[in-house]
Amino acid sequence: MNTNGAIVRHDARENQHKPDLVDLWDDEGDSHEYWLANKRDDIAIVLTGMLEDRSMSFADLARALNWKPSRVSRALSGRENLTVNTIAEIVGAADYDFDILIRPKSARRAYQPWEEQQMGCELFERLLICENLVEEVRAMHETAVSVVEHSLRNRMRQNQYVAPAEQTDAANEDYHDELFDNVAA
Amino acid sequence: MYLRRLFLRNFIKPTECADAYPEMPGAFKVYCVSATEDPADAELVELLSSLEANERNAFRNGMSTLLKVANSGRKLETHFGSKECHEAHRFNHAKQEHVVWRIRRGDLRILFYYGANRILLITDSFPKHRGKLTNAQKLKSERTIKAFIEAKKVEYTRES
Repeated sequence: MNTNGAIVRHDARENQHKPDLVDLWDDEGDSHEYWLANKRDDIAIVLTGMLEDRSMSFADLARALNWKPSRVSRALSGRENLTVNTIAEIVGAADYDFDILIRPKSARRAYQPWEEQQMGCELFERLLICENLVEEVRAMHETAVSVVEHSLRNRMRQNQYVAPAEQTDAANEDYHDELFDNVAA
Repeated sequence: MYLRRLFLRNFIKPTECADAYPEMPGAFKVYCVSATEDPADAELVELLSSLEANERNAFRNGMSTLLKVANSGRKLETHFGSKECHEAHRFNHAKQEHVVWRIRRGDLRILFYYGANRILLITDSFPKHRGKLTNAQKLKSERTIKAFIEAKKVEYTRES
């Protein structure tokens, strides 16, 4: 790293480790402030997702709230520390309501209603695919059973069918007869 | 041409959990161009290596947001707004018109393209650029997009 903090990339011929993304970040800084900035960003992502679900543009929201477009852009930029009142106004303008959902840090975040619909559609499509597969397997099984039954009936008609338990004894008998014949010869 | 897949886990802090922001059905898969199959040779890595630490972290924050939106399956302009995310350049290739998009947020400047199969290809990135794209910047993105469209078989970098 040079004096400005930029990473100096070494020539591959010197067999030095080439920095990748994980090597480039300075994680020594204020994690708490970063975490808060992330939360502000996450709220903005949810709010813009909500607007998209309602097919509302930023301009539509500005009209609904009688705000200047610049105020809407700032509120949804992810850089503002939105008040509860502001969030409530924005959510209300989209004809939604909201609560606060607490979760363990490592748990997946909750799905929003439009995301549940997305997941629902995906699961429904997968269910249809599974149902089709089950039907195909069932049809294949019926065909296989039919073929085996047909084959068995044919063999029984030709007296060539021997039950599995008897087959071994019959095979052994043939083998011993052949042996006897060879020995006799 | 090699493409390197970019994941949210590449850009969030170790104290955070990328699994908290799963990929939704229809998520956009974000890629950047790499010179070789070594993910460390990706153009984005080269750019970030040349930035100062504070510029790099700002870039990282922006990419984190971009990837969360991409993971949701939404187009980026639905979150960033038209002022920050808009069409930067159009060109014709293979009897079709193609659009290069630009994100401009703080220190983050990214040009990208919506490819087939929900691929979002980052064609260029640079810090603190103001005003219209230069011809060189437009041509660079055009060349990347054309190579991507015409590639008979796209190759990917090793998992990083």
